[in-house]
Amino acid sequence: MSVDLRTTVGAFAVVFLAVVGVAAAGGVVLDGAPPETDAVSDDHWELETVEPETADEGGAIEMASDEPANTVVIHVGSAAGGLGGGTSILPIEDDAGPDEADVGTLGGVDRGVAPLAAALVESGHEVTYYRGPVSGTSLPSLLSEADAFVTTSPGALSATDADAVVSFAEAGGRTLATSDPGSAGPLTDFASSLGVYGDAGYVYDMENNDANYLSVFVEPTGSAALTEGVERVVFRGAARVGGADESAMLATAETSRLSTTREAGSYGVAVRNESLAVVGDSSFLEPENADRADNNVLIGNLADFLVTGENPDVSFGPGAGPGGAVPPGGTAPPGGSPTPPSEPSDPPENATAT
Amino acid sequence: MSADGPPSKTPDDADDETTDDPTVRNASATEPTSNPAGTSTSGALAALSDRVETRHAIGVAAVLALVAGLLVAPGVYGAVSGPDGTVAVVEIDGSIDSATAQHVEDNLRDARTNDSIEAVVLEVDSGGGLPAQSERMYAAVDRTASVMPVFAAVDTLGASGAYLAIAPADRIYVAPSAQAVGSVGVAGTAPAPNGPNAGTTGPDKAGSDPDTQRERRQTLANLFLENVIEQRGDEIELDREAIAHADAYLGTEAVENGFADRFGFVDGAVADAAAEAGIDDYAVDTRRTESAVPAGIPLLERDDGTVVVAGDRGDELGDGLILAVAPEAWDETVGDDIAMTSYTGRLPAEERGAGSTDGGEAESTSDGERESASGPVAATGGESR
Repeated sequence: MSVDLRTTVGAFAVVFLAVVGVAAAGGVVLDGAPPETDAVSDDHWELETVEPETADEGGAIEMASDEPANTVVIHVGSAAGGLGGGTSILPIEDDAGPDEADVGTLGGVDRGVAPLAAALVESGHEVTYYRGPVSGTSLPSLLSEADAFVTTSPGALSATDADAVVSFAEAGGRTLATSDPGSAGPLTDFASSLGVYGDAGYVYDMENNDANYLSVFVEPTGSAALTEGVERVVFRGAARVGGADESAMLATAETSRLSTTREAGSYGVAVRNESLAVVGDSSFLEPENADRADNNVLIGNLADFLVTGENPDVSFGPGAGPGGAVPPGGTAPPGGSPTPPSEPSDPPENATAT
Repeated sequence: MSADGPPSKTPDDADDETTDDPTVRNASATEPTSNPAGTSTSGALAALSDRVETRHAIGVAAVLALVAGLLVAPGVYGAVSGPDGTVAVVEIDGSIDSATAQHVEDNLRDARTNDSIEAVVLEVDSGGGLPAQSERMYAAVDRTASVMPVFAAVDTLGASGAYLAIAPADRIYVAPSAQAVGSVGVAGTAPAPNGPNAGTTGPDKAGSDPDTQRERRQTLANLFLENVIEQRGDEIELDREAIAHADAYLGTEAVENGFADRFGFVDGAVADAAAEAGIDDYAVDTRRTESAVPAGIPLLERDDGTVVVAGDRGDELGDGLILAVAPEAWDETVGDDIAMTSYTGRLPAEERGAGSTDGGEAESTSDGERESASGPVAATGGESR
């Protein structure tokens, strides 16, 4: 019996191709691609959508006064800096090695007030730093020679130094105290006899700020010499301050809130009571912030405030001359009147604000 | 072959005839005149033999059919009675980094391409981590949710970066006692100026200036906020400013304010996801984070055959990064070396604690304060504060 090879192979091929063809066609028909997913919406990722609004930068610190040379004593607290310490330190490395870069105006404890000091010196005034009792010079002796006093850390003043500053201010010595959140107690302790207090907590603003809720915009509440030409300034961390008589000269926007109560409203962050000006923030004096918004104008006004007015007529006793180290009221018992020797000074006649 | 009908066959042919056709057998048996008696007997035997062989063949065929049926039956039974689809449970656990994002991305991609997976449930217990990795998961969840139900179930932590990741989910379940849901914001060390450094080739190589640092941080926070509003703006009943406060809510609060949709746990979410996908009979495929021991750490095999981990893992995230981390997860994310300090910058260690003397400062300045204020409340005590 003969086998028709051609027919057999042909039958095989036909059946084989039919099977494979059905499988292929079935695959095409039945096999679906992975489901089509929707693209992830990315319109709201564009920089113009999410970039925060920030304050303008630029501008020089200018003083308007043409006062003859004054001496301004600046106290910047301890070297620690940080919260309540007034100035930021410069961390270059972590724990090992140098902790801060103290290279003139780029670092060190005086850095935080460098723009103010530079403006004063540029106008022919003398700046003296006071670094606490360890520096060998007593604050009363410095103040007896000084026309104005600045502290960025009232809490770092010793009790006797604080008493001396109060006496100085009561005698008409222009005094600027800046305080930060976290220093309400020391500020009130220092300034209550001059009619100024600090409030606990901090002011923040989630709506109108300079790229951070703590960086609040602050505006003048009225016309005053200290706020002349100021539209708004930026405080990197504002503490509420208030006075017995005076209304605040700078206040935050209505959208701001006080951290302790979360109540929205305008909060006073700077007051002036005669020869004492208190600002609830020290960051605006720092080099990075001095040209932010109208901070430069405010610093210029404060510099004018410090060097304007009568020379304070204040005496700190016989030992308070240059080199003297006897604190004011050194013989008085602790807790006694903080203003023993300067009683003759009459504050109203010294309140010659311009 | 059928052209020759059975009647035309000769008697001799009958011996060879094995057909079961009854007409053939009848024809042979009803023609005695043409067949001698002996021949008739042998024909009957042949017919009987035919019947036996036919029954045998039928039996063999039946047995073969039974075997074949038994082989096929399980498949058919399985096809008829098996699950209609699978719900994949994908874990999001711990600090969010690249490994977490890859795990979630890979498994969600598999869910989209695997025909048997009909729904996904995200099992969440994370306080966040890196923002970009959280965004990767956000995108993967969003993409998957466009083709199948994706539900998320949060137990203790579903905050910050983890909340960003699950924001596109179709539904968010929380345990009523979940301790951190939300926390829409980022955190890092406070902006600080950099000193001169001769080791870098540019002033910004060691870090941007403080203003730029501040702006970039806010940009990251705004991205986070926009993502949440894009996904859950209709559900969350708080306004934009309230969301940006970055509070982390309890589970029961989250359901009330819309950060979550309902109370529930993974099992309930799985059942609901299956129902949403229209599958009554479903399997669950749980995808845990792949390795308990992360790759890249040195392992030592001891003499007794056990393997120990040599040294610390050291996989905490760097302090220079801006993180989407809830305060509840800060320590496990960046370690306890980095404290969230005040706005003025880092405090020297010896000064910590001294700065908050008035007690009115809300920001913590010492490790001790921060831990007591932000650590999760233990379910057994409540005295940890």
